[in-house]
Amino acid sequence: MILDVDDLHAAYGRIPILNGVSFRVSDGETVGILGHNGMGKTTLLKTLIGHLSATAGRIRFSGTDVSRWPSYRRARAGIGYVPQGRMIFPALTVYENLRMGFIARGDWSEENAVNDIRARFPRLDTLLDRAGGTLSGGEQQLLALARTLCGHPKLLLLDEPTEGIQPSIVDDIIEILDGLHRFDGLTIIVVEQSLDFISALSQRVLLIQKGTITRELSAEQLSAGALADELGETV
Amino acid sequence: MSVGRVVSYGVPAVIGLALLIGLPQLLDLFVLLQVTLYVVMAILALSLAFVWGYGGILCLGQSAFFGLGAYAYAITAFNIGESSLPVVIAILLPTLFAAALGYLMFYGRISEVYVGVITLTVTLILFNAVNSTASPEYRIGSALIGGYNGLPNVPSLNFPFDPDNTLQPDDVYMVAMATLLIVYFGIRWILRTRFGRVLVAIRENERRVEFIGFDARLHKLAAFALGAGIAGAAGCLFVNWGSYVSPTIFSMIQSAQIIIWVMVGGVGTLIGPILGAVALSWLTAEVGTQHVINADILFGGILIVFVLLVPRGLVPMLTEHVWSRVMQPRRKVAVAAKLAAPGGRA
Repeated sequence: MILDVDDLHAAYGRIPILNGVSFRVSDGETVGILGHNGMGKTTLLKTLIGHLSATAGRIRFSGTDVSRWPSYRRARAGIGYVPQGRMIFPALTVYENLRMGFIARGDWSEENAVNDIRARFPRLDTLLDRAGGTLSGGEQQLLALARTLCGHPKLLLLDEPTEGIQPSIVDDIIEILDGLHRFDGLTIIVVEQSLDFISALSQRVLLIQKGTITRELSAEQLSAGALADELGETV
Repeated sequence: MSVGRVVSYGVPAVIGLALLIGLPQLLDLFVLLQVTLYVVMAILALSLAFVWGYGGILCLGQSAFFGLGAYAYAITAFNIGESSLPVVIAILLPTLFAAALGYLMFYGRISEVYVGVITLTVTLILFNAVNSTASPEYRIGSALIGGYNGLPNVPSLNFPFDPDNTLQPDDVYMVAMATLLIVYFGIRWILRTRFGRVLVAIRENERRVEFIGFDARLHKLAAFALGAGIAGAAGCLFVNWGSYVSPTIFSMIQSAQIIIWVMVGGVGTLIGPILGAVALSWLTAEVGTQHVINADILFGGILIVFVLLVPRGLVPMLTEHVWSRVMQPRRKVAVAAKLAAPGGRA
């Protein structure tokens, strides 16, 4: 069990957004989170990374309670977060962005990490000297993902990675994430509106409504193509 | 090492060393004293250039650390009678003060605007506190603080642990110039380290930096304290330049001037603030010799002109526009040669 979320509550000021979210994620699993706008998907990821403090509940990552840890400690512990809107460093070059993402862990050097990512992201490899802010939206999304992967996370949190992205780059992202999941055992939690993307990547899907997980669809249900039907009723 | 890097380090190093060695031979004492002041102000400008231009911390009260360095040196030099330890204290005291203040601000998650307000307020508090210590009972050891009268006849720098061998004005110039070179190349080195890269990324976006595993608060605190230490060193040299320090060193005008130097030279550069400090300090001195226009009005006018017409400052403007015009013909020639080559497209 890499992540154990128990009765998690979070709020913006006095407005509660998460109302007792509980779920578990196993090592190497890929979990999708679906829900209408304003239901708490992004807030859930922000609370998991520590951008937003939990008002109650517990987050255990790899057996350790990280509920009160600041975001940088969670990132160092192995939680990678690709936020909505990419959030690269626009004035830094692609290469500098990638170097920034490196987190020293074990004998994995910065050079190894960056070279590994360059090999996985050939589209970025030709843009290393370009300032991040001059890239297209899709390239920036790839860069945000690549930068987070430079930190060699154990758990990757992705917030709407296909939003406003051209289809060819969406295919690239699916291929890269699928490879990382299958061959490197990376655990992924993805918040997404695109049913195609989420069903291509997820082994199970959690449906979130009004700040709580209301339903869960298993891999079997996903493969049976029941996701769209289920969502048609629920979301 | 690439040619570009050799040039970018070599040219300032050669110019700096030439000024360090050459100017004392070329200039008379009065002019050399003036140049020493400009060099001290350039060090002070670099302290803010690092904190604001690279760390993104808009410190409106950099003169607080400048003044603390000056007073720390003066008071300890009076008490000890030798300058080696006072120099260290002049750097350490502002560093520690900034570390304490920075801890409260950055770990308290105070927003950028309020950081500016707090630093300015601290400067004004120091100004008023020191200003009201004119009575003889305000003394630290054998040093009378002097309040608004200031502290005159501050002992000069001496060769380390040799109080009888004090530095002459040309020696003080060389110490100041050497300090400027050390600070300039030191900051450039820091910016190439991982710490420096994280600092620049924090300037871009603090939250993003935390998401990728760096404690932004700690990095900002370290940068803020380091900038204060540099300002303290400048304060120590300033008090040696004039053998005198007064509370005006903490004044709002002094704080504003540092910001104007950096803005005019170019935020996010190092050469720019040095040039801004030297040029505007020279201008202040020149304007002070006549009575046609008030120096503060002139500074205000310069600030308005730069904010409206050259918002990024002189050096970024020159590097972007002039440099691109110089390079453009070369590019055109290269493109023309490419097109003329066999297989080149017309």
